Amino acid sequence: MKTFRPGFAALDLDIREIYRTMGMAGAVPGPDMEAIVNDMLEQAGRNCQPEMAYTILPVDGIRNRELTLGETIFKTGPVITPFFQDATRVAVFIVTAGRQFEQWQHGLRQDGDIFREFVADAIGSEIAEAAARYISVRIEEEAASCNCRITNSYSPGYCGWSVREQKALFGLFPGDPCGVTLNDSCLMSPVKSVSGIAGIGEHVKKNAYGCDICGKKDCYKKRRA
Amino acid sequence: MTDLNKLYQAILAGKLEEAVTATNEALAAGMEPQAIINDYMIKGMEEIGSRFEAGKAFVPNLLMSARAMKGCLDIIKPLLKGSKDSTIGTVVIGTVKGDLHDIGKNLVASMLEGCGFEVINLGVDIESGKFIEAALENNAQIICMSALLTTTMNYMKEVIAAIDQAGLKGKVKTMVGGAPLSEGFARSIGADGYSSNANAAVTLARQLIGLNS
Repeated sequence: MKTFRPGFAALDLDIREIYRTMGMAGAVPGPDMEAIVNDMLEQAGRNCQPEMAYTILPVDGIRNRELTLGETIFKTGPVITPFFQDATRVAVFIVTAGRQFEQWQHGLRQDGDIFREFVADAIGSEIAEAAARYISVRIEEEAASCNCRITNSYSPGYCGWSVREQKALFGLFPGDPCGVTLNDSCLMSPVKSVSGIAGIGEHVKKNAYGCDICGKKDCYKKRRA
Repeated sequence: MTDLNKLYQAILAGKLEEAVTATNEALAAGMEPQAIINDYMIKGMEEIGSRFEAGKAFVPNLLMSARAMKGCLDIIKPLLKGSKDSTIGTVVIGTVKGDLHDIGKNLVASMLEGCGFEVINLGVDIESGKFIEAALENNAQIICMSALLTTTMNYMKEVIAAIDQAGLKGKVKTMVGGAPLSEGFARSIGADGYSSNANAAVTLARQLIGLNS
């Protein structure tokens, strides 16, 4: 298992994505809103210690709807599994904005300023996504050293892969990876965390990953898109 | 003479400090607290709500207005204590058991509060018993439930069944919301209403307690 604590500044946050998550739908924020968002970004930087971890495991079997890694069988489903067809190994990863960030959010909630709480939530989502992009680059570098490439990453809870398989995914790490734990519903705590897998192999491809690969109608990502 | 249009404009533009200053000036000038709320603050919230529905304003604009409204209400509410007009209704709100997502729920809570409701925000991961207990304790007319996941939204059905079992059906209305939910899902679990956004939640809550939207 490899772990990383690169610091907030190492993350490549996309400010447009923060506004999109806030629901601005491409509209230009007014100066008051922009000032608050910028202030919150600065505060987030002082209150965030992102952590990431990944482990690389050999693929022992791929069937239509399943991916076998040793004794762990992921029912990745018919949408995701084909993307792993040419993978010989899999990187399993967990990243998080961290406990300190969550505590900062909690403090904002106590202050009762709904707008700042809302902005912090959008920033937290982008921190988690940026941390996932960061770990993806590290995995890609390791794969490249063996003349391999990686697929996109896929997460339990999306595209027909049950969120309940988080337990099996977390079982591939010793203890609580990056301090992230699961509740009975398999939700991660801190909430601003991302887990997933990426295929590794000489012939795998990084296909465009968007909602068009999945027909799930009640997914909130699809509604947002 | 106090320019109360400034208060209306400050609420509409979501300018907290300006709204608070205008409220203090209005009170100092002897304006009736309830008139300040009804004639200027709620009008500002209604206008931002209309702009949102028309696609001319966005969720952050709604929230900035709600934040300005709350800042003003924090000043005015103590002056209304004991007045039967101080709130239009009481709502108990929470994210259902197993789900830890709260920003959407807090957004709805904030809008409801800004539009005159008393809101009891229970937080996240709330079991059916807690919803009922809070509704009884606060004499609430509405229980409002939120969920972000398809795995947790089904718990809403259990809460509605528990409300029924507690003999509160019809006395306490239920409304649900959250990204994976739909009108059809709400109907299938027996909820009294569903809303897809915070502004629509206010309209729905008003309807459920028999007020015009």
